[in-house]
Amino acid sequence: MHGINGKRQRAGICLFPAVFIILIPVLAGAARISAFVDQNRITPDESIHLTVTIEGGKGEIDTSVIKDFSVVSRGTGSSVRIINGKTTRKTTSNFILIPLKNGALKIPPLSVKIDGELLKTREISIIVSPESAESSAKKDLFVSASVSKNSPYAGEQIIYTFKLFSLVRIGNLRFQKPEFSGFTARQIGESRTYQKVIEGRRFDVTELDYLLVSATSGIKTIDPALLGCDVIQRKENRTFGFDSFFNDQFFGNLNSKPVVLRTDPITVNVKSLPENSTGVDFSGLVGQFQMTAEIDSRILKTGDSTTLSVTITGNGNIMDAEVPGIKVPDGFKEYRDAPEETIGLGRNGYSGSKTFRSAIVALEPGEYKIESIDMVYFDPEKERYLPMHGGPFELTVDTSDEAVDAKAYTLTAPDTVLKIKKQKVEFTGHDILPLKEELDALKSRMEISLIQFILFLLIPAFFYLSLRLVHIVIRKDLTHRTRMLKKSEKALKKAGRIGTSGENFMDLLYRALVAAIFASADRAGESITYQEAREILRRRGYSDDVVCRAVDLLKYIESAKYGGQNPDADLKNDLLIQTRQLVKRSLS
Amino acid sequence: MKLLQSLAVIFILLTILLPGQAGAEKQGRIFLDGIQSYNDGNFSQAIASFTKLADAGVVNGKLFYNLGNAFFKNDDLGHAVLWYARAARLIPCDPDLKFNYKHALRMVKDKGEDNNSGIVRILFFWNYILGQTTIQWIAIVLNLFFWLFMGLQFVTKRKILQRSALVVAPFVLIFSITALYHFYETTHGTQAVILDREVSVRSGFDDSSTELFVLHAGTRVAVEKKSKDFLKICFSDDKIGWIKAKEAGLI
Repeated sequence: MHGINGKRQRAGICLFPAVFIILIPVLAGAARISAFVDQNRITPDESIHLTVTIEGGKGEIDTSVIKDFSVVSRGTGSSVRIINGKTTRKTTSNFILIPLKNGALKIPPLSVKIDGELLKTREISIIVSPESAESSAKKDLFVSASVSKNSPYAGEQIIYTFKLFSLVRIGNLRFQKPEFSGFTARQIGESRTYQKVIEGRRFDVTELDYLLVSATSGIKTIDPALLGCDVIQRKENRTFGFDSFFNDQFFGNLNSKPVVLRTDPITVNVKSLPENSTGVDFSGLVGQFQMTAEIDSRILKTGDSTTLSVTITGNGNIMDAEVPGIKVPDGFKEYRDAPEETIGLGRNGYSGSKTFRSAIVALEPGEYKIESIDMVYFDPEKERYLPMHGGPFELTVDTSDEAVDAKAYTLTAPDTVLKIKKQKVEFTGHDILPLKEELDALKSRMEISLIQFILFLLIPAFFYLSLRLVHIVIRKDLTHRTRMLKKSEKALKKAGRIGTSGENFMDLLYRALVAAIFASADRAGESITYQEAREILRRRGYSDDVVCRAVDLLKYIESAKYGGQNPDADLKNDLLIQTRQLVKRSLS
Repeated sequence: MKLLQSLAVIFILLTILLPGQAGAEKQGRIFLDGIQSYNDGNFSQAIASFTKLADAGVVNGKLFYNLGNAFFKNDDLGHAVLWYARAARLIPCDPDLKFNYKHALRMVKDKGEDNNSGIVRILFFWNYILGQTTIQWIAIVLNLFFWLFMGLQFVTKRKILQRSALVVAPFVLIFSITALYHFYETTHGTQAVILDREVSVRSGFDDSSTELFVLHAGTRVAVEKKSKDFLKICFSDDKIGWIKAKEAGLI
């Protein structure tokens, strides 16, 4: 238990009334670092507020060197100041330090690396001394933790209770529950709030419960629970006469002070269960339980089924109840149903019931007995194993009117359809399927990296684009001469086909001849005058004979083309031969 | 002389092949040890053996399945679900895996709040039927066909090839995008499984931050952000917060 009222008193009698220790900042170039605490003499239950300021730089504060305290970060704020055109950045980091032991403790120099330079704060000394009984009695705000039983048995439920006692206004509550190592913990409902009078003072109490169960025996320690909160206080620095008016929440005349409260650690000695000497199998249940067993019908006919229900009710680890051992006689077949649970979690832990149902089908007529169902559970209150019983049940099975015997039926009348009521197949047990033992489990799948995958996608596209590019380049590289020669050849080939009309024939011959003339000059063109043709051919060094033949042929073809002449086959053949000879032998 | 040459060739081949073979034999032995430990009920030893293989870089759905089984039997539901989920990425149609994974998920305490999973499974059915590697190879082969059709069409000018390319194109897109999404998921770890029995999801990094809600082992969450030691996780639209990185395993 710890408080804040006593803290104020101690501050008055402290040898160092100045609460702040301001350390001279270490100057390193433009950057400075300083650290101070709000008090340097505290009790083990109190915490101190450490502020680290960095001016003119930015860096991360290494608090891992603080070994005497548990450090809780309370955030970082920064501000920028511009004075005479010079910009200064200031970063303030706040920490709550909770002492881990008594005595003269130290906050070692904290280091920060700024622009490659290591800056350090100065060491701070803190005295942690046990508080006096007098101050403890006058606390306004404290916390406590307790367990319902300090020496439970393994598997027994115990309740961990955390309580916050407050006489002051608080806000921004931050609860950190203990680790509960060695226990299975579950919160029971929401927190409860009520009032309690202690030494004449009425406290507001907030209570939070956890259900703890330890499966193993041994001494276990529940760590302290931490509660951070802001204590809301009135400001006391107003001196003018309007205090009564302005000292009001409405005008915001309040301030808050962060506080971290801590419970004491709790030691729990978990005892192992005593040896079960009852001779009956232990059900694994720890608590207070009862068992009932009932059967729907005791007189049956072969093929009929009846339901046997076993219900375990009580307080404790009811969810761990296993299927009871039911010894079904040989003349029956048993089909177990999934257990039905109705379990609730309350202030006394888990309680409720678990029902196991089995459908029992009579196969052979006769008198039968289902033996009593026996189990034992451990009662931690009475500290011994107690029995639970159900049954026994005596059953009479008669032969069915229909004499339905599946075996006999199949033998005597195999073609007769047996009417069997279809049932949904339910799981009768739950487990996973076995391991895969094949050695191919060691073969890594053929992994493709992202880069490989993208490459695989891009390579075909690259080939396609290359194909197109090559095509473009090849076309570009063709000279006018080659293209015009190709054009000439193509026109001659078309003209040579049977059935080409007269007008078209002349046009094709004209195009072939003109293209050939242009090809000889390595030029492109569609039409040409006789004069131009003569000049081109002469300039290219052709003989006068070739020039004259070419120009004459051009004249003739052109006049026939535009004159609408329809040459007969002989003339066409003759013109085609002349043009072909001229193009291929002379001009090419 | 010839004899010397033959001996040299044999020596070189042995030098190249033997270390690989020895490594494979060692892995085989570890694997069989793991199976033996599992069958003997020594599940923690089985976990150690299988983990050694996974750490050595063996990426195989069956090995991951075995790890899931070993963790499950060792009462570590969080790790069991994690390894089953990892196996499901590689062998999603394996019936044993489906059975065990479902069984493990039934043990998870937290009830999922994602109502869209059914629709998502129908819309992106191929993602749940085919393994990651299969999807990658389908994308690569279809892409190859697409460009082959395009190239042949360019050369031969046949329209049927262009039509074939157009038919293949949407499938190339679907499978390529799915494969790329898997790469993103693998490298950025957008899904995780809660490993600890009970994990407090807080509003901030430090332990004094407010506990927002509690998740239990085996619960699957989406990872929205990663810092050095913490993960920002999203359980559902209205349940987001920070957990310690060690409390969850990225799938």
